[in-house]
Amino acid sequence: MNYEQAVEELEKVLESLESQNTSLDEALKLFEKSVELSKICFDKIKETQGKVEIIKKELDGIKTQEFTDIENK
Amino acid sequence: MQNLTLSITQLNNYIKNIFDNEELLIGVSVYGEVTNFKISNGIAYFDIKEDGAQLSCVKFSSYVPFAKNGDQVIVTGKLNYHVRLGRLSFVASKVEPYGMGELYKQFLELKARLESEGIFDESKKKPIPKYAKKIGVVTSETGAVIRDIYHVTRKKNPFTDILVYPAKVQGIGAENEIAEGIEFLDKNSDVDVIIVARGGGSFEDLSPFNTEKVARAIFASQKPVISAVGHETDFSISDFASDLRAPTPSVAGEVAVFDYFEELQYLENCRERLKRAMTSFLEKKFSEAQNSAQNIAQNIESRVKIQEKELENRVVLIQKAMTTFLENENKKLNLLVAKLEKSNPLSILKAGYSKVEKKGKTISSISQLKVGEMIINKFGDGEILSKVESIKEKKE
Repeated sequence: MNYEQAVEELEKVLESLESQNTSLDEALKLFEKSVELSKICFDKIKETQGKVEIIKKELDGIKTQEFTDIENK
Repeated sequence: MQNLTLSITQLNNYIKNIFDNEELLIGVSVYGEVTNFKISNGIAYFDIKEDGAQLSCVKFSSYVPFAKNGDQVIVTGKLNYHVRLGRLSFVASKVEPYGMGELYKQFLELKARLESEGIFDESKKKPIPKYAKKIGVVTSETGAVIRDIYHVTRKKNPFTDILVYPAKVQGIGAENEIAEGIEFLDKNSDVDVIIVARGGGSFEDLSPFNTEKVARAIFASQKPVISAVGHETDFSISDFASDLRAPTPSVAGEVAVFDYFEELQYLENCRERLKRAMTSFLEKKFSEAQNSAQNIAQNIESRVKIQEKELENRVVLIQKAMTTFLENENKKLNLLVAKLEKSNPLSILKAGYSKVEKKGKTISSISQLKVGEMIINKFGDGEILSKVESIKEKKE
């Protein structure tokens, strides 16, 4: 499940929980599910680190290296 | 008329002053067809001409050809009279295609052809991912464009990964590098969206983005491509072929990444909503339970009341029945008493009869008596002692 799917799912679960048209058992299940989904969302959104890389074409092939210069530009 | 004799320098300076101070000529634009185009040491020399007229032009800081002979151009700049050479030239600050220049004609032809092939079809455009984790950028590694994209994306989302494919964005061979960059980034599985960007420039400067090569590379890309070429007013073939045209590279950066802080806030809100929804749900259930408990209690109470009433009614009925019963019994008793009263021996005695006893024994037959024996006659109000004088048997 990617972030977008997790958010969509979370929104759905929240809406049915907010509608209050469920039984107590169902609500508890939804609650557990939404807690889990919100954790997935938080984890997913924090997955990337903001790496900035640049492709370098060298004699022995194409390499990816950190693009440090950009910070100073 | 005054006859003046001047040095060449004096005359040339005088002429230069006339041109420099002529307000009409400041920032003037002039159009014509390019001829004698050449570049030397970063300076472009060319003439523009029309039937019966020609103008020498020069453009500084020109390292790549921005026009070729035969192009119709509009040149903006100022007239400069060169004192040392005694020559007049037009110093161009900007050279743009004029009317249907050859390049522009080619542009329109290519655009029409690709359009008829369906390369620009709206139905073929891929959506730009809402939550890109890694963006690929094809542009020059030097210059303002990559820096602008970097800063704009960092501000909105400091955690989006960026992969730059450095490519020449103008001049010969630029279209090949741009197309290679798109293909390379398309194959990189981590890249979610590709930006193809270039800053502002002349129509010629932007020409690599108006090539079939770049258009086809964009169209073939499995990953969505955002095209941001030149200024807002510039439209390139790559814009039409792309999945999204951004008016500037900064805007491309802006739309490629999601707002990290907003998203974090949204997730926090979701947690709050979750808490609120659950709390109010439980409160609702609790109050429902309370209501039904109250209903049960009220129900029980009213039932007890009904039963109490029933019981009361029964007691009254029983009491009535008892009273009736007692009254009846009383009547019966009275009747019985009356009957008894009648059969009381004393009552018989009162009617004129007396009881006969002999030596304490009741005498009920004459056979028990002999003449001369003493008997007692008991009356209701006393007794007498009598002597049997005679005995007469009753004849049947």
